Amino acid sequence: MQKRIVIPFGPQHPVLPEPIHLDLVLEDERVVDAIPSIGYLHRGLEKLVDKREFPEYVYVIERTCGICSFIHGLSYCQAVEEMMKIEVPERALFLRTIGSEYSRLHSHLLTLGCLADGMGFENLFMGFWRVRERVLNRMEESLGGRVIQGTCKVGGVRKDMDGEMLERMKAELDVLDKEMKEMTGVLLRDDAVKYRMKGIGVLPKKDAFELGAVGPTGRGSGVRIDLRERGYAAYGKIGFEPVLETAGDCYARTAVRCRELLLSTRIIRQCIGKIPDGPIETKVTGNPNGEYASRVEQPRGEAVHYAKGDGGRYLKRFRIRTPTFANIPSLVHMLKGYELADVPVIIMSIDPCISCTER
Amino acid sequence: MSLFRMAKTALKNLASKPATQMYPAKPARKFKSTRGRVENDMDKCILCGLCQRKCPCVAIRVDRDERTWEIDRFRCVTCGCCVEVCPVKSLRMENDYTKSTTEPKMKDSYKSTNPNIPGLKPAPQKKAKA
Amino acid sequence: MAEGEQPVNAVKLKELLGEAEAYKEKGYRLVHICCTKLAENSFELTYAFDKDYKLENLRITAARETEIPSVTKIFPGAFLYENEIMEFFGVAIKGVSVDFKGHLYKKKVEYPFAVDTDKVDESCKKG
Repeated sequence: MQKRIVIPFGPQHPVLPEPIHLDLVLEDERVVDAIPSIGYLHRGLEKLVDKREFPEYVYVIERTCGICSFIHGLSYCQAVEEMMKIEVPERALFLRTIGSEYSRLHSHLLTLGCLADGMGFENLFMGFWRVRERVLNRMEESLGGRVIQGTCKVGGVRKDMDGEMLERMKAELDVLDKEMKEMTGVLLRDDAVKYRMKGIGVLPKKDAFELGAVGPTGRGSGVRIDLRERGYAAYGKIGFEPVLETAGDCYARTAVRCRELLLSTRIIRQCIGKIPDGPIETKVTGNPNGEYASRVEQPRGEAVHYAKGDGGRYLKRFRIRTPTFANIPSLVHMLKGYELADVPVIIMSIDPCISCTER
Repeated sequence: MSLFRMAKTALKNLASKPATQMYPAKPARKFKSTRGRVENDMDKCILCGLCQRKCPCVAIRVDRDERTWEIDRFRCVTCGCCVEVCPVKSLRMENDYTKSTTEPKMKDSYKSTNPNIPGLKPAPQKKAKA
Repeated sequence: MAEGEQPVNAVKLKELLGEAEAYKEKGYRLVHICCTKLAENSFELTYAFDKDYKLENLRITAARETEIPSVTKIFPGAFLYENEIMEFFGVAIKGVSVDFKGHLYKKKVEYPFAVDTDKVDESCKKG
């Protein structure tokens, strides 16, 4: 009988962008079990709903996470708008879609850079973040902020983008495409990188569905769940196909993210082509009454924002179920049977966003 | 064998100029809609207190007796909520950032220079100017 | 928005496992479990299931002492949701596959979300 030892991983670790703790049970160098422990970034944002009126609560929700902040704000506004039966003007829906796709570009570039850094490939990490700077500059110019945008509000958006800015964005998308293809080419075709990712952290399709994997973690195993197909915001008017891979290992999940980068630039081009003229907001009167669960596709998967109101200015309950929260059981399953040196690559391949998980 | 794919990009980077900027020696890059800091035009401000009620960070404090409008720069997240709700449009969002400081507190307090504030007696003459 | 109805079925406690099993047979996946505090000792748990982007909800009402059976035998990925509800609200759920016994989060107050905000420290209040 081999001896078992327990090694703590995190909360401080060079590969982790955010603190999560895992107790790894090892037999020699193989991981036999993993016990997650979260709670290092808990700020009790759901409890603040008693203290901030519903129009101001959007600023709190946006600051749940720095990487996926735009889509959190969008989802909150959708939940309240559905409860109050508000019709958002079409131009605002298209602007929200453009903002979401830029947010997805910046998040995937960040993740791919951190994954390269987790393997020790710092040059590629810097290369990805250099491309990300272009995206952040465009977001600051058009939406108002690099990381926290403050654009979505109940009833529409706060800032408009004029025709000249949209033309500049369209011209820059070609440059972005070229740079992204170069970087993702290194990640997907270099032999040394492939050796560290192929066959590692395999998640079969049946397990992925049962454990509730969402986003690129699930789509890398062949589970077709992409909430953009539901058609919220302006996605109903744009044609696209979700990206799927079947291998279920770290390489497949990374390949899904690389292909989604190019899909995002295609969606932004379509939006810029189809955006109509018109107002960008509607007036909001009254208070939310009822309940609704708004679901959106964040860069990491499906996020659910459940809101419940009883007719007052303050919401009664607000709950966020983020994609990393749903992917942690899959992570624990994925770690079993692999060596200690593969653990950082496996954890970074599910793209943990712990500040979302602990709101 | 496919190795050294990154070598071409790495050599190109060595030969070109850095992507970073020498801040604060050179000023920071900013755009028209950059959210830098909140400023108040004290000639127009009527000290109604709407910005204080709406601020999600509790950063603004309005004192009608002292006729001051105070903002805690460390608490302010430049969300722009106060700028939107101001009824006389005296608040505006500047697009350069607050300078950093080594003090533990950063509260900016401004005295009102508006002689006609509804609900308050006009300020005594010697306290007036700007 | 393209979303239509989100039906809510209120069920009794003993029907919970049967209904969850029925959803699994039909190919649904568990989306989330949400707990809301209705009154001092009354909590409402909502289980949400999804198939082909259509959401359906199951709802049960329970007091703190009520023993709710766990759905982790049917949906193995539900252990995190149930541990979080147990720690934040104090509702008792029996038979969770991975039970953290109150140590998932490190907290100062016993059941943080079940406490009224007005009774919390003065320094946290909005000025």
